[in-house]
Amino acid sequence: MRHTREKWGWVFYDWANSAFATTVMAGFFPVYFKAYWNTGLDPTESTFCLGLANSVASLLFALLAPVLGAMADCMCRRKAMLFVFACLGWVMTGGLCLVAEGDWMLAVMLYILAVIGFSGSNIFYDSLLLFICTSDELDCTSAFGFAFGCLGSGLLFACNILMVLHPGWFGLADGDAAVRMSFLMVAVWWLVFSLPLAPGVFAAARRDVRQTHPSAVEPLWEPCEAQCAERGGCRASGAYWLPRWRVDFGDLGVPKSFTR
Amino acid sequence: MATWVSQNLSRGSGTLVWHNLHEVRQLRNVWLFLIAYWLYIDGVDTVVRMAVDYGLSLGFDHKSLLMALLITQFTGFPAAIAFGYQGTRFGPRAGILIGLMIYLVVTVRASVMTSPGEFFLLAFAIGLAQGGIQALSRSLCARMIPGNRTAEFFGFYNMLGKFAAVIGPVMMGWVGALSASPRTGILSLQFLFVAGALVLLKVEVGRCRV
Repeated sequence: MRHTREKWGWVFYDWANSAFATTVMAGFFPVYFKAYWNTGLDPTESTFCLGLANSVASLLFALLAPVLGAMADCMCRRKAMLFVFACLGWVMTGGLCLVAEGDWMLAVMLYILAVIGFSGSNIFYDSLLLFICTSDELDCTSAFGFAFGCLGSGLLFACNILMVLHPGWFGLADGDAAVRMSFLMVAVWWLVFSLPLAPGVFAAARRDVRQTHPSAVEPLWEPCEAQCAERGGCRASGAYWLPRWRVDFGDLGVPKSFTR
Repeated sequence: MATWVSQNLSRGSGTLVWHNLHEVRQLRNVWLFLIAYWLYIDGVDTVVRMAVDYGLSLGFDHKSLLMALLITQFTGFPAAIAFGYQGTRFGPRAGILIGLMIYLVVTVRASVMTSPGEFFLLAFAIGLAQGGIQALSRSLCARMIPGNRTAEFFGFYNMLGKFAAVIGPVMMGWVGALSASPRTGILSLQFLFVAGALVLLKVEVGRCRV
């Protein structure tokens, strides 16, 4: 496998954002929410609200995911969209460390927005895979991303667990301070390790995938540039994706250009 | 409308029909893959989510569960890389099927689990398989989707990831309640892995190789 700067940037974004999935989503937030933000309130009510907010956000995100993706494709702005959602994630995760005890409503809101930032950036992250490596490197590159995500988030999480178990070693007052510090560390970690992916974020990705995948199935792999020019007019409407879906589900008779 | 007419005239309708047929056939494969992915990723996520419940019911404290989570993370690192190289040699589908087989063994082992030490062993096995399945599913999906609509199709892909762990927990509870044993409930997850593998075998991977 060739090691390009762009590829390592991509791999390190997994290293960056997996910290959120491990430390915040799987590790500390659910436990800490019950123990700290939820004090002085009927626990069943706020837990129900957390569950409800989580489900609503998941459903909303799931329905919007292909639409957001299609918009990024149409504008050729996959990387920029990645960073828009990542920004949301950084800010909201960092914000969690400022939420006062008992303020469960604010904690839920910040958490949900952070999860949307995380999940949203993941769509565009996955979609960039095709642009950073050649066809025979797809498996290895995808696996490297995943592997480094495991390693990075494991290291940070191990460090955070140590902080919570022994706050004194790190000069922290108590376990609560350690958990808050962990949220801040995740936000900074996510931000810092995203930076290698940042070069070129303001440029539209006007690269033809056929450069990296020469033997691609011909009719499907239209040059991105031509497509951008062709769809330039529909960019503003945002509704261009509706008729196109009909073709995907097997409507044989409709000419492709008609559905654009 | 005017552009449509002019484009059709310039391209020639014969090419256009061929274009559409080809695209629909190609996309049929993508949808088939997404169905397979949804089935097995549901099982994978259910195992992860129920593992904590299961561990707690066996009398583990939170510290041991965090340990198990860390074991999964750190075995995931070399395992995913190994799966990546394996995928380059034998194709991503073979790798996914190996991962699913590991999951079949895990569910059987979990259903007859008696000693707490085995829980860590299962965490290790899950660490082995999980990274490989997810990494190779992503690269297989990348091979099949139209290159100018990558974010749209990865949107669908991520959507299914969000809807994962929906059938699994329900099935576990239902089968567990019918047979009055949570151990049979875990075994019912094998349906998801087997069904996912069968649908995956239907995908014409050879046609999608870029």
